[in-house]
Amino acid sequence: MQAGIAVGNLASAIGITTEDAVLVAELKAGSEDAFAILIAQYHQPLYSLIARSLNDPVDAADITQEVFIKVFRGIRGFNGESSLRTWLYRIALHEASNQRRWWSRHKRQEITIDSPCESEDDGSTFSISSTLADAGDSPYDHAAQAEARERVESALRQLPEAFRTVVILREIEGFAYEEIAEILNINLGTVKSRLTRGRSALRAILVAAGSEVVNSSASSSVMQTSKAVTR
Amino acid sequence: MIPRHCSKIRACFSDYLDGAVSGQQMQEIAFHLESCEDCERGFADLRAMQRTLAALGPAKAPADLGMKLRLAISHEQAARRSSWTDKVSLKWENAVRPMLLQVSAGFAGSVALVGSIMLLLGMVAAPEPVMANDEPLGAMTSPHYLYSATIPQAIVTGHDSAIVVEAYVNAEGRVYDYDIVSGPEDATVQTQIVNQLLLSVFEPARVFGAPVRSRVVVTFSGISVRG
Repeated sequence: MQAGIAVGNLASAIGITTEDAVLVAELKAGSEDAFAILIAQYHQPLYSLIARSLNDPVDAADITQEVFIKVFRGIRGFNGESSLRTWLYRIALHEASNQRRWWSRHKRQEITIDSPCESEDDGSTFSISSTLADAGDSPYDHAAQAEARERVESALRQLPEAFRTVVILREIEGFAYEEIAEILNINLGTVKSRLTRGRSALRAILVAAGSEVVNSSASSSVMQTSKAVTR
Repeated sequence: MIPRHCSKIRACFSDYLDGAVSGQQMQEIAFHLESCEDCERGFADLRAMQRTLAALGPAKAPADLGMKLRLAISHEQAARRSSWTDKVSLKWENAVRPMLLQVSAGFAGSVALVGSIMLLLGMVAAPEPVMANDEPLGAMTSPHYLYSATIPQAIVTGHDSAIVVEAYVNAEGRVYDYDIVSGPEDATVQTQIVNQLLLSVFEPARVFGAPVRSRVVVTFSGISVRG
């Protein structure tokens, strides 16, 4: 399925489709119906992308609104060199980036892209595959999967911006390398490099988080045992 | 210490996950994973992570977000459509109109205050005194000498000084009386002065065009001293 999405995205990355061209023409004419279609089609994926790109997802709805207003104001300047989807995602990521910069200036210091990331070379023997996605269907499995998803979301938020964006576009949104390169205005080699480093960094964060969970549960069981002994 | 071959294989894991490696590389990596437990575990981690990321799905947008967006776009469209008269009207409605009552009241109050002050100043202040130059001087003319019935004769006197005479001129321009202001006042001199004045004709003084009686000062400077 991922491959199918990627092929579709690759096709749309090449240029504007006929359907898009019709929609864009109506948008440029100021048709309210066309904007209603655009909103219905893209507000959910753009919100999702923005929510995951921001440090504080609470602002995602406001930023999504800013994106659509910018689209409304700038649609006459859209020349069809890229697909409409690519153009929308580019605006959304730009707005999210602006918001992140504001956030980091006012609320916290973010990890820089150049900061060294833990990788598989850390010698850790902890395996995250056992703590992540599970094919089971029992209530316990569902709870475990929800917990795993939450852990991954949290780890994603800790990734440096450049890595996070590429990982989200590739792994969650299912964009092809070429389209990611076009959205972010970087070359294909940089996309691959950021994806490799982003995956490694994410794995390192998950390993660290998983070890803490294991250590804390182990230490709590040791404490319970020692209490039982002292009793 | 990780063997060099393992490091090389692990560097390709990301591309291998996406199927972005050549057939030969794919075979090499698959063969290595079968024989290296550490690398196999590392790759399994990456694959599990990829599955979990793919399973995350979209972050759910608020239910009313679509409606809010349509509303925001409608506002934008309305703002774009409105002409300059609408904009002025809107500014008037939003900015000026709420203050209109206060501004009008303030202006009326200012006018009333200034008016009251001016009125009080007019009533209390002393009236300007009437001065001589209040008269329309342009409407009054002084008498002046016109001509003499005979050729003027020099006044003969024993003193070497000018004789100043104040002559009284009637409305017809004739002298009807006189005073010697300075100079000899003997009978001979007075006779000569009377003769001169009686034969002289003056333009009478006028007030608003009407001739009136007036006085004129005449100086006899051509004095012939008897020797």
